[in-house]
Amino acid sequence: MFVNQIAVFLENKVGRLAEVARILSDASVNIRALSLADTSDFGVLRLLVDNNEKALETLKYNGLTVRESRVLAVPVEDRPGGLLKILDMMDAASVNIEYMYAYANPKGGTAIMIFRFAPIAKAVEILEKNGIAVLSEQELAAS
Amino acid sequence: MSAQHLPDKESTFAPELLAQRQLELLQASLNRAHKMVPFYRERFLENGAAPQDVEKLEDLARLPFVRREDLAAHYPYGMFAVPLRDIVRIHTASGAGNKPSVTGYTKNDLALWETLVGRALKAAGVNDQDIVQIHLDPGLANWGRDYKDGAEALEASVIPLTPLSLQKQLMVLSDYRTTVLVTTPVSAGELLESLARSGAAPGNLALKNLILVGEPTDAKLREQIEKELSLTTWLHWGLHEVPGPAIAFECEAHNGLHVSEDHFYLEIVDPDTGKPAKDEGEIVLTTLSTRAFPLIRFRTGDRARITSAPCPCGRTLKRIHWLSGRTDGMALIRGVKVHPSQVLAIVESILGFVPLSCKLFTPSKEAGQGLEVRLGMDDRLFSDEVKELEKIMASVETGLRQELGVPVCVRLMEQSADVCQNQALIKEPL
Repeated sequence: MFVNQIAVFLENKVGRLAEVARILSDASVNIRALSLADTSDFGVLRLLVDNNEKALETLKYNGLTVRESRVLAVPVEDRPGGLLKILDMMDAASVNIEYMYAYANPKGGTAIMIFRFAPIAKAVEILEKNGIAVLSEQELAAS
Repeated sequence: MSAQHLPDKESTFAPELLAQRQLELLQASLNRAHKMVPFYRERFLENGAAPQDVEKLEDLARLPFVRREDLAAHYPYGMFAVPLRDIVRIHTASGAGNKPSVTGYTKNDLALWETLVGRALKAAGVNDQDIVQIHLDPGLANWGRDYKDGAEALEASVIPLTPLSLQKQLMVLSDYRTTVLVTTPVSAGELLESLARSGAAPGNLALKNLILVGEPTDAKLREQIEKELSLTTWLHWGLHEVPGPAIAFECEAHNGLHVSEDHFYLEIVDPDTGKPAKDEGEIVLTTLSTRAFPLIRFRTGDRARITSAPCPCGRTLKRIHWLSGRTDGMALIRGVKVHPSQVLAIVESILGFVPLSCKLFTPSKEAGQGLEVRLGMDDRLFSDEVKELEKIMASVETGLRQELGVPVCVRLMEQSADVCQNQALIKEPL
């Protein structure tokens, strides 16, 4: 019933996220979903991966502080009000949501990730240079 | 030389007379300590010494040193030499471990301190025409009281230590026409910066004299403050334990600080060997007149160079040049002495365990020139919820701030390779 999630403590500085991605990639661990909660000083990276044991071992081996915790994977109807239905349920029962994030839908073929880049103009430039078209608001709504 | 700068009679004793007085007071003080404080009695016994063996001042060197650890070990009243009913005030200063140093004063002790702080202020020209404002961190609250008493004894108008924001302090400074400000060099620097930011013309201030306490000053900062605010700075040296902020003070020659030798016996020792140092070393003090809390050969941890050459001001009291750096591993944070082991002990009491790594940095910009504590993340601290991590930071920050009385900022860091278990050293930030 529960899903085991891995949380990693990261200092908020350049290259730390890439470092985690590299460590996991080197261990052939696939990241299925992630969310990063950050403050000015540090961040907590939460990951769902295809091999928790291996991920924990390799992250620890690389000196990172990690913790496994249980979360729930809840199917949300893909239509207006889908999420609201779940939230209302929880609300009515006074259940609080500490955090939530999206998971790639394998049936959809591609997932859409939302980034907050800084400086944003430079990010757009880099994406364009690499042939990656960012979605406009209209395109996002239509996808 | 203006009349208010004239030194008192005791500051101008001929050396022989001063030495004679010191010896008489010292013998009486040793006798009292021996009789009333078991710690001293045992120490004397261990060293095969008795108070009557001290026949001349140099004989004092036969007695062992007293350290901050000894004060902590006899927490709270073990070092008091008078019954509690004779104590009228109790002060707490940060110690070298779990326990603070607790000192007491009799009514006469307080009167003595008033006189000594008054003497130091008088040497800076403070008189009954002055408006004296005291601006110190909460960690120096004891000194705030001593300065209030000393300035009131001179019949100056005193604005005592009050927890106000920097902006409010500046408002008082300007609107109340403060003429004398007692503060730490760090705070003085902040006031100056804040004044410059506000665009106020420093010429509009009535401030004439700035008494700097708590830390040795660097000549450049002093010069800058004196020039930009058109005032004179006066450095005072003191202790939290002995107890008082103005044991040594500058005269108008501004060339070293006169030690009130009529009430303290001064030694400068080599911090490693404990033997008398030629010129530069650690300040060791013995109280001559305090009743409630006699200290015999107290290792202050402060470094100084001594000058015996006559001073143009006419005072015969020896002068010390206060040097930066310490001999005891303590850090001066905005004038407040903080020992790394004390910080660790507080952190442990808050968390319930000793964190795997705890690095201390000061002065820290992030903490307003205060203390920055970097906790290495480990399994016991970590949570997948940012809220929980922020709670840890806030509780450690609040706890340390309350105990130390200086600004504190706690940061969570990734565990680094150079982890030192249970060790905290205070370093300058990189």
